[in-house]
Amino acid sequence: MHTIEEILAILAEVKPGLAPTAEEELIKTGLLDSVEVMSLVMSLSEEFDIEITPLDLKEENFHTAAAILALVERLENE
Amino acid sequence: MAYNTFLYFGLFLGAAYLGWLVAPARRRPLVLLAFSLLFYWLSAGRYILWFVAAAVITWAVGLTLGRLDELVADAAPLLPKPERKAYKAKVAVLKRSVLGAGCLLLLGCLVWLKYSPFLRKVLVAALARVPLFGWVGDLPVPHWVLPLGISFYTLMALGYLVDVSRGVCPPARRLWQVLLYLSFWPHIVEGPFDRYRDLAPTLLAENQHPTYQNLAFGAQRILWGLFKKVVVADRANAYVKAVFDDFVQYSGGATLLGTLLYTLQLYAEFSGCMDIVLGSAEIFGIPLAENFRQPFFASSIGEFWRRWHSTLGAWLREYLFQPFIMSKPVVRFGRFCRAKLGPAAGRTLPVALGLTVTWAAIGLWHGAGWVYLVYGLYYCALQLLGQAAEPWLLKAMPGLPAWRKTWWYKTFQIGRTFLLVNVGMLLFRSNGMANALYMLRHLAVKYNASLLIKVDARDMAVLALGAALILLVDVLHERGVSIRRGLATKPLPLRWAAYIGGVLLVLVFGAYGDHYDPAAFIYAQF
Amino acid sequence: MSKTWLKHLLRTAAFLLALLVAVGLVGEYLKPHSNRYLTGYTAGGILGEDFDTIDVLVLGDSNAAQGIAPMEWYHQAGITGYTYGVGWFSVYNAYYRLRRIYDEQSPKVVVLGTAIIYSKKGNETRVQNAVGDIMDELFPLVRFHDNWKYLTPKNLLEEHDYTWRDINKGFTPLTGVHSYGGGSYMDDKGVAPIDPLVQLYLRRIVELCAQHDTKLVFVTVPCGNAWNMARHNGTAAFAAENGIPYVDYNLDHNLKAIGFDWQTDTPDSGDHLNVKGAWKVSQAMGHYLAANYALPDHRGEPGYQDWDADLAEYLANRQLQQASVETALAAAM
Repeated sequence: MHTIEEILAILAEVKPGLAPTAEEELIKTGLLDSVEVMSLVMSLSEEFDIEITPLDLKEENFHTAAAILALVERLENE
Repeated sequence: MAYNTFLYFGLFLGAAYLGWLVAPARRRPLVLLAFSLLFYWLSAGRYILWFVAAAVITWAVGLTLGRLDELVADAAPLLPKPERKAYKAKVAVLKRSVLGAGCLLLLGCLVWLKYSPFLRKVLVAALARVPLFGWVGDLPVPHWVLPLGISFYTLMALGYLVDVSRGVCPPARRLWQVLLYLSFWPHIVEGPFDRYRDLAPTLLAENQHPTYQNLAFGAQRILWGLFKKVVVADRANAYVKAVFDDFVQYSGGATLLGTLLYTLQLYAEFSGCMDIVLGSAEIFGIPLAENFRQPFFASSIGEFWRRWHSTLGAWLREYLFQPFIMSKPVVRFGRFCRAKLGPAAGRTLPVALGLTVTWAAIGLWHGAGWVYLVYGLYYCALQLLGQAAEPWLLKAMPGLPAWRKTWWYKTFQIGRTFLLVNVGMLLFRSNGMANALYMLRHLAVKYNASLLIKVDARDMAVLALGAALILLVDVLHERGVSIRRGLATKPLPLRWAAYIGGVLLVLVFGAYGDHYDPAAFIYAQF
Repeated sequence: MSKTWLKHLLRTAAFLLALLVAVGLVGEYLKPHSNRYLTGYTAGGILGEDFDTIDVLVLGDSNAAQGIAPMEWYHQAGITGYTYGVGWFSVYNAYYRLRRIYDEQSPKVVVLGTAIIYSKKGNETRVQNAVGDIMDELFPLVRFHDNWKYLTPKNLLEEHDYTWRDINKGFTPLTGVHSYGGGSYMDDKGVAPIDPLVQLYLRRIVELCAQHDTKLVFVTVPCGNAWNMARHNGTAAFAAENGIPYVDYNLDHNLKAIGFDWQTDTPDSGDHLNVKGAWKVSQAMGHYLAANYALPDHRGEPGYQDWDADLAEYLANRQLQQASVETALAAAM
């Protein structure tokens, strides 16, 4: 099990100054653009040693920190 | 057949609508297909064979991928568990080979037809530099006329095949479905890139019904597009052409105005064409993807390209940028960077590589030539620079995050983006790199205010008013005002007066006829 | 369902009707204030002539406007003619303009300058050419739209005045000399096919002339750069098929017979004719017309005093042009 803090820490690393709450909208508000999402993907797959595929690149998987956490946990169990 | 001719919206569109109207609902998609193929044939003649071949390949590969998926679904549950995984893996390999072969065929046609003259030039130049061969010769390349819309239908076909293989959408069962999806006449010449999964529910549906609202809204949008193209873009063309064809003649001031007018021309022309295209499809109740979202309100280069020709950006993001970064070699490269250079590099370098490849592709998609490659890489450099500078900027200016929320900083960002985009436009329009550099240098150095060009003051006044109207509409759209819905709720006499006034405006102030040089739609050449 | 259908159909029809009326009215308004400016050259001057005074009407493009001088015929035999020549004229234009001219004139002979059968403007396709030209003719607004530029506060409400007359009767005299050095251009072979749409409108012109009891003649003005034997053969075949007499002044024996000289008779290296060439061709045409058609001699007749006055002025100008072209020739040699 991972915590939301780990996700938030990675987010802050990917985009300095980004400090959202767990449920704060990231994509629609433009806080994360498509390039930053890819940086995030690279970080996540390294940190948690998971394989994220193009199929996982849906807005619903990345729109909040909580959604990202859910994605990570789902992929770890696969 | 260009969309801005009487031939198109007078005869072709009228005939297509009537034919579609009188056909039984079940047959309506076939009427659309018949007119699409007619359109293609009228525009391209026998080159239609290239298109049909591409459509047949797409259909067959899509169907095969679908069959393989069915095979897994049918057979896998019957197998004992340990064998299931191996079976699935085997089919997956098969799927990848089928997909790869299909994509290679389609891309091969595109590269061969569109890029072989450029590749030859590169190859000849490269071989000449290698003294070992001492070979100074030439490679014969057949002279092709590009099949109409090949850059558009090839990419749409590839996207469709990838979607089918990913299981995002079911494959088209019938050949006519693929033929119609790829050849649908509104989007074959200049896009937008429509996804099969978005378009199939309406375009291929057998219950298409005419409605008065679709007809009125579609016609309205076509009219607006014609205004942009015929009144604004074609009028700007005269000045732009004079400056760029003979730039040595002109001072920095003339070049500056020429560049600004070219940006206006390209925007009015391309977005106007999209209005005609989307309006044409809307008449039949088919919503094509939007390609423009007030691009000049973008606050960064990245955002500009999400608002300008956005379906190309979306396509490349989904089918090139993301898969490229997630591909095994790049992931390995990321791991290598992380180990040697630290986590930040492991994160950013693969993305930077992906961006470079994507921007190069955007550049080369626009044309086979060095200047287009540089055009793409120019935006790439801007974006990478922006990213690399971000931590430093934050350190140097702690107030930045707060400033970014203020109106004055946003205005600054919009102005900065506009400026950078105009430099890109200059690159894009100039005939070759050397000319572009010359113009840029003289823009900075040889500046004097005289515009030194014969312009008709009345034409310039219409141009200025037209540009102001486009800007006003963009401002309203940016604020979320729906002008079309607003107009639709007005009383009938007012509505009719607006429409009739619009037609008269285009007819009277259009830059067509003997005194103007009608510019072919710029994007139709890609 | 059917009721709303009907409603929408009627509404669409009503809208299109209102649009058509508006386009017609604005088009009428934007027509030039004088018939002098209806076309390039002076073709529009025909609207200023008295009704039913023109016996020979020439339809053609710049080759005709600069190559056929109807006043030569009046000088020779009292034949009244007018050259309706417009740059980049097409058979589509010609058909609609002829219909319009029949409202006011009843020519006994219509001469079609055949250059328009093969000319094609711009990089448009032939179908686009045709549609564009036909739209021009059906909707004056399309043809005259750019005239908003010439509106001033003063002429905004001015009435149109279409009484201007041209003493040259549509002919545009050129006095420059620039010889044609391209050599023989009529020794190729084959038959240049005539575009089906062009054929269609040629036939409509043939029919229109027949309806008005007008004799149609094809004439090709000498043109070194745009005419050749294949085009001659294509035109001749169409003419023979439809029983139309055809005179091609490009043929060697015709050039010889009229004493045409490519060294001296063209102002632009063989595209068009200067006055020297135009007088030769026009005088030959005058003889041809007088010999083959019963055309009355109007000189001195009541109702033609204007023509006699025009002729006097034309001849006076002709002398000046003669002097001017000789000077140009001396400079060019």
